[in-house]
This record gives sequence, C-alpha cells and structure tokens, in this order.
Amino acid sequence: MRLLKRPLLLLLGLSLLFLCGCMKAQRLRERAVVQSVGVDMVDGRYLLTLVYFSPNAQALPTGAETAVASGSGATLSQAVDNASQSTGRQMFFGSTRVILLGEAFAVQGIAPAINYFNANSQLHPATYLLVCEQSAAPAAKHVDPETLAALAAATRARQGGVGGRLMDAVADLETPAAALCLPLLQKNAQGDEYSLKAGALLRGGKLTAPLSERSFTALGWLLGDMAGTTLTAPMPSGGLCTFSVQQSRPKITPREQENGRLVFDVAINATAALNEVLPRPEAGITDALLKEAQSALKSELLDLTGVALQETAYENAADLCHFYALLKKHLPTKLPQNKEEMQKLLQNSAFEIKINVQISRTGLETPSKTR
Amino acid sequence: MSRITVSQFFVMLFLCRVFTFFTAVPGVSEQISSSGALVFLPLCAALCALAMLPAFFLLRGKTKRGILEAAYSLSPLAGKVCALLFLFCSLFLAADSLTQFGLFLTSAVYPEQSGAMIVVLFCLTAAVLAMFGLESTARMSGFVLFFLLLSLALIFLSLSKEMSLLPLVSPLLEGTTPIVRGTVVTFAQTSELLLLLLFLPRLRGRVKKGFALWLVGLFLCLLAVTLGTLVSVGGYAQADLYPLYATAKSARLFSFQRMDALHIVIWSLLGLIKTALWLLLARHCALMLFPHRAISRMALPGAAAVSIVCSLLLLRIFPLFRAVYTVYLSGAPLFIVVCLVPLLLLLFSKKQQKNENGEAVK
Repeated sequence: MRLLKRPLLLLLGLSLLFLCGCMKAQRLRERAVVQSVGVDMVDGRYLLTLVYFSPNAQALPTGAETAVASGSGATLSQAVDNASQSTGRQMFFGSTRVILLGEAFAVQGIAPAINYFNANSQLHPATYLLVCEQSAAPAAKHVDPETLAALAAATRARQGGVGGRLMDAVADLETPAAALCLPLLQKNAQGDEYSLKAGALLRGGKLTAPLSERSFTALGWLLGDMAGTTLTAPMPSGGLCTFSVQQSRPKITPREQENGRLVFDVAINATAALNEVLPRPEAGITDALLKEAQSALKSELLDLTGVALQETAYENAADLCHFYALLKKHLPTKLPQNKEEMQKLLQNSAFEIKINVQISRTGLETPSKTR
Repeated sequence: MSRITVSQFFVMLFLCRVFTFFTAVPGVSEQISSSGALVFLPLCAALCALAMLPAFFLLRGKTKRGILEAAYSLSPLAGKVCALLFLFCSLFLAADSLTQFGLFLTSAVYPEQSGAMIVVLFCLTAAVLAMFGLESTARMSGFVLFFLLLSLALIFLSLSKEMSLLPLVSPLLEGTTPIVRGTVVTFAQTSELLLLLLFLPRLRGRVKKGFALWLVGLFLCLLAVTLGTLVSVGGYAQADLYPLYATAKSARLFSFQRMDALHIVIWSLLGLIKTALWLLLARHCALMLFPHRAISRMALPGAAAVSIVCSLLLLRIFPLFRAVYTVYLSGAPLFIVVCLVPLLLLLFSKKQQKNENGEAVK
C-alpha cells in the first residue's frame, strides 16, 4: 500500500494541471463581465445588447466604466456568440444585475429568455427583470446598470418584496395560471430619462397589457409586507395625509358559496404611522383627526386593492395574486385543469375585501400649548 | 484492522446519505421539493428499519461479526457468493457516486468542463482518502459534518425573508402514487444500510442505539431541508433539475454573494467520503474473496480503476445509464442485498442449528 501511495499522490498532483485553472484559463481582459442585458426581437431575430465592465471605456453618457456589445441571431445562444465574436471576449454573466426585455420581444413571449438565462450557471437567480417601453437596447445603452439595478430593487421593495427577479419569473411561468407582473421602464416626454412607474402584465409569458401605477402598487399590498413604504391618501374633509407603513399582512382565502361560486376573502391588516397632514391642522393632531386619517387610509387601501383586482383578475384574467396556489392549498377540489379554466374561474369569482388599519403613533408632534 | 466508534461511523453514513439527497437523480428530483416528501421521508425511514430486521436477527448477540463473516461461518461457499455480490455492489455504488458527482458538476455548475476529467480526479482523490484508512476518513467526517450543518443553516437563514407557507399543500393532493414512488426511490438510494452491514465488525460501541439515532436524525434532517426548500424557494426549486442546488444558488448572505460555491465545496467533501467508503468496502470484499497479499495491495487501485471505467460508461452511454438506474431506483437491488440475503442466511442458520440440535439429541 505504501509503495502505491506515492505514485498515486504524484498522479493526482499532475492531473491537477488539467483542471480549468491551468488548461482553460480565461484572462480577465479576454472576458466581458456583463452587467446588464437588453433583449429585443427585430425582424424575427433576437437582438442582444450587452453592457459590460471595461475600465478603459466610457461608452455611457453617465461616465460609467462600461462598454456595449451587440449581437443578433436566430437563437439567444447565437446572439451571445455573435456578440462575443464582435468584441473578441467571452461573455461572462456572473455579475449581471439586470435583464431588460424589450416590449416587442415581451409581446411574443419572454419564456425563451427566461429559460436561456435560468440555464446559465453563471447568472444569479436573483437577477432583476425589467420590461422596457418599446426597445430595450437604448435603455441598456443609456442607463448605468447599477442605476437600473437600484431602480429595480427599490421597486421591488415598494411592492412588498415580491416578484421582479429571474427566479420569481421561473416559478410563475411554471404554474398553469402563468401570470407575472414586471416593472415597466418608461422614457420621459423628452426621451432622455428613464423611470419605473407602472408595471407590465404578462400572461402565459406574453406581455398582455401595461398595468396602471395604482394597480402595480396595490399588488404589493395584496402579496407582501409593505413595511417601510409610504402611502398618501386624500382626507374625507379635504387635504392629504401621508402614512409610513410599519407592517402589513395580506391574507387571501378562497371559499365556495352555496351556489358553487368561488369567493376570495381578501384581508389586509396594516399598521401605519401618520407622517404628514396637509394642510397642517390648526388644532394639532386630535382624536377626531386620527380617526379621519384612519378612515382615509382604509378607503385608499380598499380602492387600491379593488382597482388591482379589477384590472388583473377581471379585465385580464391574470392570476397575479397566486389564486391557483391558494386553491391548491385550501380548495383542491375546485382546482382548474388548464389555463383557460383558470382564466374563466377568475373572471367568475367574487372578491370580498376587508381592511383593518391601525395608526400606531401619529409621527407628528402636537404644538405645545406653552409655546 | 482499525476500528472506529459507532458515532464516528454513523456521522459518515449521515454524510453519505445527505450527498445522495443533494443530487437526487434527474427525473425523480421533483419529488424532493414537493409536499409529498413530508410523508414519504418518514415512510422510508420505517421501511429502512423494517428491511434491516432480518440482519438484526441474524447478527443478534454476535459481536465483531458483519454479514460477510456470518455468511462465511455458515458455509465458505455462501461466504464467497456474498462477498462477490457485495463486491459488485460496492463497485457499482462507488461508480454511482462518481457518476452523480460528474453529472451534477457538468450539467448544473460547469457545463463547459469535461465529465471524464472530473470523474478521474475525484476518484483518485477518493482513493487517496481510502488509502489513509477508515479511521482517518471518520476523523475528517466530523469536520465535514460541522461545515455541512453550518452551510445549511446559513443558506436557510439567508432565505428566511422569502419564506411563505403557500407552497405547503396536502401531500396526498396528487394521490398515493407519488408517495409510494417517493418512498421506494428514497429507500433505493439509502445504500448506506449495506455499509452498516459490512462494516459492523469494525465498530466499537452500541450499534443498535447508533442506528436508531442515525435513522431518526437523518430523516429529520432531510425533512427539515425539504421543508425549508419548499417554503423558501418552492416554485423555483421545483423547476430546477437539482432543487437543493437551486436553493443554495438563490441564497445570499452578508458578503457571500453566491452561497452555491460553499455548497459545492461541502458537497464535494461528502462525495469524497462516500466514494472512499465504497472503495474501502470493495477492498474488504475482494480480500474476503482472495485473501492474498498481492490482492491487498492492488485491491484499492483496482477498485478505483473499475469504478472510473463504470462511471465513464454510465456518463457516456445514456441508454445504459437509463437501464441501470431504472433497475437501481426500483429498490429491488438494495432490498435483495440488505433484506433478502440476510433473510436467506438467517433461514440457513436456523436450519443448520436445527440439524445440529437434532444430531446432539441423537
């Protein structure tokens, strides 16, 4: 045994030379560290815009150290290959923060891109996805990837920390309902700045309709915890009040009515602090004002969730609130067999919304009487 | 012959089983991340305990005896047949560990790398570990167990924000067929039962207590991992070929941007321990068959070479892979070696005892 140990150890040591570190080493300068990807569909071919880290380049107007590569092809792999050939570098997706999906591409279906990037072992599953109004290429070229990632992260936080990432899209596309909502990157009127305001509704992986800003915000209230966000509501007596949300707990439970119709009981329990009242009340923060503010917040939430359910479930038959999963969990006998049945079921269901709001602290100081 | 404590041995068995769990064979992996696993894992634990009953009765009260020693004591022919059968099993299971390791790395982590190179290097490293002996491997296992539990805790801690009870549905939602299939497949992959039967003579301590603790601890750990996966990244994990790797990939904690790297390192160590144990066992069986000095020297390198060849064949020839794994995952091979063989030996020994008693009375 001892005689064999040395040759075996020598063999093992020598064979280490064949590992990727020695044999297939890739120098950093031969590698394009991709930070954001834009996916478009032009004349039936995929067009990829890859923004990669390049210390010597200043391609972006923002002055970020990045360069841009483009490649087109009949498949995404071919497009990546062509982009690699045009730059002479191998594309590395390990540091990719954002994937931008052009509107025309999203209309045809995002599944090919989701599958391609999900299969890429380098890409992190928590990479953000954004849908771009019109084309993704200009947005990818003009907006710094870090800014895009920060925008996407902030939007996700405003949505209760739900959805918006590659892994969420993979999970959503797996269900028969296959509906998801992604932030929509919009150009301003001058066409020189981009912002994320509304959402893009995708059903079966295809962009169906844009989602209004109110509905997009409301989805967060229906799905996640909105702690840390702010909400402004009109007061019944006029004026506005702004709340800082401390906690929100949504709960959706399906039940069957006697006539066989499905009802989804939507309950939201929220705790918020009153941050600002405009115009500032002369009498300070009174109990009556607090009650009024509470009622304002309740009405606002009722309206928000009502609009969201109307726009998503009724008008677009999109299961953005995981109704399929809820049925599977609570009422498996009513589980639809296919996508069409699920859509019909959503449009024929009723929603009963109950909002319970507590104002935990005013957050505003009552003017001192001695002053 | 060096001996190790029961606790050291069961730590090794625990790591071996967790290795198999992390690389559920593609095609059956979807069951690992489903609610059904919450039922079939306890069922499998019960099945494992039941399958070991004949061996328990056969080896009851006989210290320092494993199944091979028991077979040899009944009849040299039975001993040789058993040794040959277990040698074949050990070589296959060593090749299985290499194949699973190669498949996982080349399909999920480094798709551009050569599977053959990974298999060869991995097997050589495992052979070196086996050469250091059972005691060294057991000592290393303690550290690996610590890092495994730490990495699992870190992964699930980082995913705690994602947790939702929504994916937890009734395990019987899709009927009993997935439960039965899950139980059988999980049992088929618990080949560590065979390791226990063969390594018994090399253990010090209370084996029955160790076995019970191992079985309960193992399946509780697998249940916890399954539950954690299900409630944290259930939908995403179910869509992936390797659900537990998908879970590790999704985790981000402090400066660990990619927790999967940590997972792969620990998982490789688990694989090394498992392969080394099967290679040691193959050597043990070969020595029982041919107790010569030359065999003693060449058994380990020979077993490593055979495992490499078998593994490369399985990786290269897909119809062979499918055929072999269809049989293996049916649970029949493990049932035969762990339950049926001890049962036959038990019946044989009872008959022999009866004959001896009869002769004594005459």
